[in-house]
Amino acid sequence: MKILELLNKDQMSFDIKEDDQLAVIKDMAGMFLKTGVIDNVDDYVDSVLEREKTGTTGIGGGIAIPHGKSKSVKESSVAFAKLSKPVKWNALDGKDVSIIFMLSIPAESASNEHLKLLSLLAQSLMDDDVIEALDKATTKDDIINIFKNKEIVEQ
Amino acid sequence: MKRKLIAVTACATGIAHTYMAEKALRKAAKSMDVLIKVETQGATGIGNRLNEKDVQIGEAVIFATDTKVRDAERFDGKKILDINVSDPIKDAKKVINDALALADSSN
Repeated sequence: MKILELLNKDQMSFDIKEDDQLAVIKDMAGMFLKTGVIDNVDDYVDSVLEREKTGTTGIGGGIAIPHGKSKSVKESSVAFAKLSKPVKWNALDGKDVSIIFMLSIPAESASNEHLKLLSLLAQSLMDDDVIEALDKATTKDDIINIFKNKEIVEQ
Repeated sequence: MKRKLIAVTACATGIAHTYMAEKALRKAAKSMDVLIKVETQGATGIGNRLNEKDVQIGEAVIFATDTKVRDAERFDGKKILDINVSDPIKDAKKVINDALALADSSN
């Protein structure tokens, strides 16, 4: 399986312009609602904020990986946003965040394969070449290309 | 001889941080010429499980966890660096150095 299978251009945006973290999360949840990944924005956003309370998902370098596990999630998936105006995220390195991968995780045990792909996606955000490419990315195709060759490699 | 560490990573949801911490630890250890084996305790199960031999060989154990470590009794008697799962994501080299220092400490 490949990370590519997770990516959906309808769940990517370069146009979100908001002043704070909450508004960005809500906008991104709106993309999930449109594609049917979630069936309730408020419930899902609450689960994301709950997770954020246990520790920041701002992993440094301007990247954040918020995630919510909730009954309103219909499938494990990912939404992407690159902001022209970075927002505060209480990140590990204190930097404002402009690159966001938001994960949706069903409350009931979903397909392990998809969850593994989400883990792999998270892991790839530790790669210097991925971070560099994300910084340069300006189109949805750029994002697709970054993850084109990332597959699950069993150890 | 290369230094040898073992680690367990785990986070609340078991999807993201567990695996990012794993990657960060491996990457840092490699760059520092330290051998490390990292067990991931995630939502999809335990990955890369540390066996008896691993535990024996590891000079110190890193618990990079926000949740209870499963089967923690395996590490009884070992020197354990107990930190948050986000610590290696923030600065994995520091974590490796701290673990090596712990291994070198006399008590």
